[in-house]
Amino acid sequence: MFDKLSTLDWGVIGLFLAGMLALGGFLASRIGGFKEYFLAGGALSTPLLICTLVSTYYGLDVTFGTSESGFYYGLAAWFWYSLPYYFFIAFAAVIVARRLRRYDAMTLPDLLDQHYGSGMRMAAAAACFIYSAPILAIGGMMALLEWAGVPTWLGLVITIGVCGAYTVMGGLWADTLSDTIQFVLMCVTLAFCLPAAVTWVGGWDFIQDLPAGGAGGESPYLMHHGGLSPWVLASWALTGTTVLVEPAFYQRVFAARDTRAITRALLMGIVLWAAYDWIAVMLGMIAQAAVQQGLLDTALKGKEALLEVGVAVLPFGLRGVLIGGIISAAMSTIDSYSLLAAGNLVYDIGTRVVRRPLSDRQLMWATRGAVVLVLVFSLAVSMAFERLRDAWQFMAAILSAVVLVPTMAALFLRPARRAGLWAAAAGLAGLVTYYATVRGLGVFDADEESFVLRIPTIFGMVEVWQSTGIVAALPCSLVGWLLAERRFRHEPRPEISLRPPENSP
Amino acid sequence: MSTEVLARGFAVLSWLSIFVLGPGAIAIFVWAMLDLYWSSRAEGAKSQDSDSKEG
Repeated sequence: MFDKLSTLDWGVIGLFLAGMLALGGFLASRIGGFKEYFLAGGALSTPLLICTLVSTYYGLDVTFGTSESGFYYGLAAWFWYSLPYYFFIAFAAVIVARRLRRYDAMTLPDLLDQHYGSGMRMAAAAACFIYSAPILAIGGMMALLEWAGVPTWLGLVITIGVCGAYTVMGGLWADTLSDTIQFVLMCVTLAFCLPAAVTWVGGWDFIQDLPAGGAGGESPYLMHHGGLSPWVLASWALTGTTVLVEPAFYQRVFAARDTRAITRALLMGIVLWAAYDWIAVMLGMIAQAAVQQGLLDTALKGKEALLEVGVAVLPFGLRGVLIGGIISAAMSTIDSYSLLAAGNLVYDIGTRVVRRPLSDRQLMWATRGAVVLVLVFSLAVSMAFERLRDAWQFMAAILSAVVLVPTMAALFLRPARRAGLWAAAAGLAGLVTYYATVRGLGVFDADEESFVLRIPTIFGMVEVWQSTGIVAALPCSLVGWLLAERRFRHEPRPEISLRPPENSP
Repeated sequence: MSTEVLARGFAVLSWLSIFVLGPGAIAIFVWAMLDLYWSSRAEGAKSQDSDSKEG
């Protein structure tokens, strides 16, 4: 037990956790109302937004998921999973954020309510909750604690307890300030790791040790498509559309000091995201080469690739910084998303269900209570998925299937009032049908640990994977929206009062 | 593309990424802390100003 880290390593981690707790306590007395608590009073500047956006997105699921994909598929993980995200982020920064700032809204369901009514508000809030409840991040934390030899329950009580405590006390301010520290820790840790890992596997020529298998003996690890089917690549790329409905993105847009701050933060964030993804993929590929060279166990699981490489190449003391950085990555996701999910429960759903209107302070205290509930709920269901990327894609698929088409229509068109729910229902039905079909008619692929349906076509065998439901759900949602637009074309469109546009960046 | 060229390309991109995540992230952190300091000073000066006006 505790054998992988030294006392010094544990000291570094303990110091970090104590610092986070002190921060929450310091901020607790300064929060006066719900907007201050949930949106940091709308005062976040560019550098704070960069830190909180980058670190919130990079939880354990994405960090380990990206290196896991690098371990199994090589460069394709960066080109087809990460790269499309940057295009969607750029679009969100330049076009979407500016439009959002004109709404008098605090959350995505709030915005959809204005266009489509309270039914769509509830559907969007439910989809956002499923996406935001930090189930995966807590699952990742469990795996990390198990790997480090820490008794899981003790580790969870300490890490989730600290995380919950400072989020309950300080809301988005505590979340953002802790994210800022977590951001620098996780970035610097990863930057430290890569050169040491490259030296460990004998320099950049390690790519010659990656398994071959492509046409002409080329390694699929070095091909941009990794030898994967167009269906899988398209689904990876389409996962990037979640950025456009990402609850954390909406919260930060509404919490930004002005439009310029959020646009700059997102555009600068792309450079950091790209660098982070690249290093995570490289470490995954290095782990694969290390397995081939006999430096790592052949039974190594992809999701442990980054950790195993880090521990193999870093000296004692720095390993503590690595684990601290990875715990930071998990905590920055857990705190942000537990706050978001609590907002879904209380602000988006609760305020519409409870007949008596809540005062500002009651709303804030109810959200604080809901943060605890969300953490307990997420902890209880965090063991459901084996593969991190699959779970991430499943949750992202639900969110996109339900809210992407209605949101884009609301922002760029004047949709019919009932079109939102039609699109959401059609998207969800498409997704459920897809999963039922692949699981019912497909076979379990032991290598990929996922169900796959193989369909013979005139172009050859098409493989349809369980995790790629978004490719089917989005067209279904679009069809649902188009049908509703046609059916309700004579109904008057809702009038939305928007603020005048702010100065462009 | 030969393996050597690929390896060199990987090395260049990786060092760029290391530069972004190391010094780049630290610079953003310092910027964030300075921004917080300036904002709280400006806010303090503003509230002091309004206090003295009320007085």
